[in-house]
Amino acid sequence: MAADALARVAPTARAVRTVCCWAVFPLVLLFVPPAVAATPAMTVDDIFCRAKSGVGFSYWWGGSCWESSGCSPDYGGGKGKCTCTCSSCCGDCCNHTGGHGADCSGFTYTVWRLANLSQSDVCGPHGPVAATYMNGSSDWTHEGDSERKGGDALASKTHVMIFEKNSDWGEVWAWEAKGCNYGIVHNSRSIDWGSYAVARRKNIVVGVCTPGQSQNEDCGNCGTRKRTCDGNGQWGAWGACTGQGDCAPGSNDEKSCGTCMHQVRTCSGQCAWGAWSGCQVAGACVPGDGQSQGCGNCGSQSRGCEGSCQWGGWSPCQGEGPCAPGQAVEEACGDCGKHGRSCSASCQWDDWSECFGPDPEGGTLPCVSPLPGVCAEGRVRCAGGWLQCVGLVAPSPELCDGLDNDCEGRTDNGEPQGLSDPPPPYAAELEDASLPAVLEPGAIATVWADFRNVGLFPWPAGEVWLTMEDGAEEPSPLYKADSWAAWDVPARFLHEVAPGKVARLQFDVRAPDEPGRIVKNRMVLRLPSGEEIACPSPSLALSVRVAGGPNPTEDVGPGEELAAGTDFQPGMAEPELPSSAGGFGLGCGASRTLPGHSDGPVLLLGLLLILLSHRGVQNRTRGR
Amino acid sequence: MRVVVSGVAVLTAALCLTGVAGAQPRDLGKPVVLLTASWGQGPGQLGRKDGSEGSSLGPMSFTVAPDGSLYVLDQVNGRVAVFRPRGLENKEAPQEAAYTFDRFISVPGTTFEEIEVGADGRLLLLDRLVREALVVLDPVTRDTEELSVLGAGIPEGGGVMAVLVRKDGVWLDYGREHSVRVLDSSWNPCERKIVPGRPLRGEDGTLEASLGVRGGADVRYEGTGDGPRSLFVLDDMPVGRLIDVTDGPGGLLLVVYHCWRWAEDGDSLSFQEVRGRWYDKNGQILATLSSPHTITPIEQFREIRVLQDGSVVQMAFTPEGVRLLQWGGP
Repeated sequence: MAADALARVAPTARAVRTVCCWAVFPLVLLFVPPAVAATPAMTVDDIFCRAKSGVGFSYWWGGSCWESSGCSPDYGGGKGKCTCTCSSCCGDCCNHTGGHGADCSGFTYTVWRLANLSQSDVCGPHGPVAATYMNGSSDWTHEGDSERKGGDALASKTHVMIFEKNSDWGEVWAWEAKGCNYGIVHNSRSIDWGSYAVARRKNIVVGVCTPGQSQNEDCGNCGTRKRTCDGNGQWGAWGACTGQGDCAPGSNDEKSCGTCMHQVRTCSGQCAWGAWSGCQVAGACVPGDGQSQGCGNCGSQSRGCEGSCQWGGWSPCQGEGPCAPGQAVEEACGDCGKHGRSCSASCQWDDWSECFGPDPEGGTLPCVSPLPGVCAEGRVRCAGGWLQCVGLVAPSPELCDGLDNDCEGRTDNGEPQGLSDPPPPYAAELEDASLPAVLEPGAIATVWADFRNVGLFPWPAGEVWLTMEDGAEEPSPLYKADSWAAWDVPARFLHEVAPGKVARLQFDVRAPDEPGRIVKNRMVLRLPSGEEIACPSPSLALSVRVAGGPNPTEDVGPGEELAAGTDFQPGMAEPELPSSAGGFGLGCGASRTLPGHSDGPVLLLGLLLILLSHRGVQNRTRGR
Repeated sequence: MRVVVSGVAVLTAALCLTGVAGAQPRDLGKPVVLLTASWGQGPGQLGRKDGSEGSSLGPMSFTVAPDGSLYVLDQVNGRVAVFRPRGLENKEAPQEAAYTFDRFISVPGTTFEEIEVGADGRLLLLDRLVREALVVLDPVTRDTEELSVLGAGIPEGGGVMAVLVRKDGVWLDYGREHSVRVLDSSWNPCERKIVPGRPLRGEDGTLEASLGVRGGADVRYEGTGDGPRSLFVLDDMPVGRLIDVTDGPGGLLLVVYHCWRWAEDGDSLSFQEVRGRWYDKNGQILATLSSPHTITPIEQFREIRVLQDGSVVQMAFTPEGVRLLQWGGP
């Protein structure tokens, strides 16, 4: 609201108030209708816009003036202030200060532009009192309460307001100059429809604008153009763009001031050119300058500034490596593997990685490994990229268990001492033995040996023999036909030997007739199938030297060697045989020796030989 | 004329009841008169401002304090009028009203429209149009605290339609569309929370209502225990305005509404009445109430208050003054 407009209308408002305050109830305000009675056209939106612009101004009994900025109130000129001096406010009890405010009917009249006010003018004559709106007039029609629409006035004998809409609960949203204490408000409130009537302003147009309303907008370079709302509430075409400046804000202009040099200027926000800048480099470079940059795979290229102050093209890329940093390749290797390599920061390939691949069928594919025994069962693996059968079990020290633990192809070979649990079906342990060491030529001695059945199965009666070891093709020189079961079977168990039991084998030997001869025989327990009992100590090593003679000769059985230091030297005495039968090759009463013949040193050497050959037996005996 | 209107009212009420299916709802009968106060400025009187090119104003609201006192917001006189129960005095010398004037509490303004009383005696006052704020007043120390109602969910104070005190704080009903919690249970400002409709009183949940088709009203509510439920309130007269919708003891639902019939000219009312219905959880009407007192040209913000025990209190304006009427619970 312009200041001059305020000065123009304020006296009118004051005059109206003066008249109002003289009035008696029922209130009748002085109202001078305009000469032209035609109700100006308005849209509902325009009514709402004008009503919004009054919110917050004071209640001014008899007043109808406020300031607006578009649809918003403008309090720059003050809101005005109403003070109530009695409980039946207002009327004579209202004391108002300031030039702005309205009472309910003045507010309605001004919102409805009934004094032919301009589109933006919210100051004007007061108009009729509230009760007037309960009936029709030249500017509005009377409507049924239930027919109310936005923009209508709701009027009682003492109050009138601008209706906006119904709430979900049946209250109404309205703008009203409520009273001295409240001022002009927008609120949702209840209405006593028994007391209120509905008035509808005439010449409400259904359109997007109010006839006669104009609108400006920016155009071109800081120009403006205008359009006007026609009589049907529709906007007319935009007029020509006027008042434009020289340039578009932010745009640039330039001019040359030497080789590769120029001056520039920028357009201001008011569409006017600014001042020229100083002379400055215009192109991208100065002729003679050079640049280089990396390219390709660790290569480089260069370019030079040309006479046009622009960079020339880049040279071909040189010095490239075979690959790009971070590049990686992978390829197959072997039967089943892959290997890869990556490119270094210097664009060179690194070494291939190890060949590696997954086991076929997840490592479950069975196969037979090259190793026998327990190592035979294997699985196909991808090792180093190649398919291999890898045993499930690795070779281990041989045990007395009926298995080929060391995977050398022989079961329980080497007389392993460690017994498995459970033990193998057949196993024997030499508990004790009486073995002659020195015999006179042709002498006869008894040999006995106690074996314990440490196997799982019993030894059937008569079916476990003590035999010469494999390879004997003729009777032993110690063979005594009437004692031995056969030429290669010195003895056999005549009764069944249950597991855990000890049984004795006993047989005679006859010394050869050649003095000094040494006979070594190794005898093993064997099943009728011919299979040897392999462990832990199923054998008997017999070494007999024939007394006398300068140079002992040996008869060594298959698989036996003459132990170092066990041979007899010429002139050595034969060992004296003990009389006891419980010893281990010493004092064995079963042996027969020649009377008066002493071979003490030789006997000691024989004893040493026996002790060495039966070291395992002794160890086991000590361990118990 | 008044006799005729009353006869129509009785007939209409009967029609309302006979239209209910199933068990006959209980009529809560005639209300107890809690208070009668004449218009004026003296002790025990309540202020009225007659509009002259403005709105006519009466006491905007009332409440019942935790100690049983009646507080009437007599903002026209810039005060709260406190009335106490007559108690034994009533038995010895029966009076028309159950409450008698006790004292005034002056309030800092004449534009408050809603009042609540806390357990500690503090007053919570709503000035939605001028201050656009809630004011907490300690009537002993006269200390006041003011909190703007504007903010998330409340773009303008004129849209606040009710103050709802719940266990978790104070909510404001905005435009009958949603509610915004603005104070915590100690009446201190808190982070705002917005729910559709309004929060239930007895449990977590919300309640939404709106006028519907065929002159009925739709009520939708959802608590913690059950899924969403809905009611369609249909009476023998159109429901013109919902006055209060709330849950009560035992999860019952109360709908109080203003129903009327337009005269043939569409410009006046041939009959109008305030009615209330208590519904059970199955949507059956348990009890009904009716009052011939409807709103008048004298503006008031709160007409009905439902107390914790389910009784319903109405503040009615008459040419002589103000009456507070109470119906028992369902």
